[in-house]
Amino acid sequence: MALDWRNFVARRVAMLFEDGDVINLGIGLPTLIPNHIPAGLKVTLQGENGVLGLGPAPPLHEINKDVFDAGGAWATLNPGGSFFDSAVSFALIRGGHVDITVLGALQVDTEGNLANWMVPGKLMAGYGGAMDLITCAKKVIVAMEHTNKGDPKIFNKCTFPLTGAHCVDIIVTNMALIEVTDKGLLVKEIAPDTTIEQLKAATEADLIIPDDVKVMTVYE
Amino acid sequence: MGKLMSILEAIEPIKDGDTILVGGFGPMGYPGRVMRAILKQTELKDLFFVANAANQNYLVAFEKLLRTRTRGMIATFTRPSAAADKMYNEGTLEIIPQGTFSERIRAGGAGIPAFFTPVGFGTAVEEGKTKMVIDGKEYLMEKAIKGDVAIIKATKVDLDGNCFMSGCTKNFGALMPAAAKYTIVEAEEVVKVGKIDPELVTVPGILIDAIVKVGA
Repeated sequence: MALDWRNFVARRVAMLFEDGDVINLGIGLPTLIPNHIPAGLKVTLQGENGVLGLGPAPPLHEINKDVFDAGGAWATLNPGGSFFDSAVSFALIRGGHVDITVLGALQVDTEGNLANWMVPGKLMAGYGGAMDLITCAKKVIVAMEHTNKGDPKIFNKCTFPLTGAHCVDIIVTNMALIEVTDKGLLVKEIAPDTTIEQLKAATEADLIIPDDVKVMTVYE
Repeated sequence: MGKLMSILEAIEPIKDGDTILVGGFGPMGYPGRVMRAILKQTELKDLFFVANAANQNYLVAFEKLLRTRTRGMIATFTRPSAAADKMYNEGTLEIIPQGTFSERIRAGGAGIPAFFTPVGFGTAVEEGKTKMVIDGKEYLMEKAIKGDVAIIKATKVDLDGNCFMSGCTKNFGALMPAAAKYTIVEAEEVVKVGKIDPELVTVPGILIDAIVKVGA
């Protein structure tokens, strides 16, 4: 069965995880990622609301109203999990004990800057825990749709107020997997149904596209 | 007088202009009954709130207090909240990163006037703040937050005020009592002293001034 683009992106992101990683998943698309973590890989999911070892969503009749994720969705705790207050939770984050954070973006740019907390004049959501996570997690992965209804989201320079400066490591979209490097945005993989021309047209930023760029694939 | 009292007795010491720390991550750990009593049964005004979030769908009494009785707020995430949007546009809502929010409150209760964090460097958060390079890395100085009042929710509280907060409901409520001069805890379960395992006390009772028993 072919995956829709959201699950395709979620699965490709999950394939970047390594055994033992402690991972924080943002709201939106990243919440699909737990369904795609490769079998046998042991990772620990952290919620900044004060939990390590988040498990799958519970069936309705087994909800514990005190166990939820940072998006406010009911969750379960895996064996070995733990609960703590927000100071401890952000000590884990700020202290560099979270290996990977995956989150969405409104804009991201060639310097690895990320904007996701407001659209000037239109919308103000707030930072939540995103600013701490992207500043302090060892690896920051942006998972998002490549464009906003056709308008680019990947720029040479973000125009919206930043959530974090020089923080993004990898961008995974429905069109490509891109690494943020000192030289600029390096396209590592292109989605099977995307051409280089389409990718360039959908991206405001300059892209480095090597001759041997790979096709983005996920496990069956 | 014991600490167990009615909601009205518990909120009586709150004054116009007070800074109030409110526990909860969204509706979880949010002291909704006491907040509703402040809205419905007092005419307190010019309040300054320190709360992680505003949300017009889940925190209804708080939304109304923000609309009509509030001079300012510090928060981290306020979507969706029309009252918070209005405050933001008027310059009375300060949005800060959640880890800085929790640590500023922790510091306020721990006798630490300020601390340094890398979070916010290179963003609007750094504006007006003291910067320092420590061991080659850039940091912002963030000041502690203290309040006149903290209002929190516990899963279970004993008559001395020892609180147990279950699962993810500890969040900010576990930090706020130490940072406030006067703390009200609401709980559905109030038990005799000794009925909470000391190993499971989230907030020591000496930090609690008023206990309010509420219905489920």
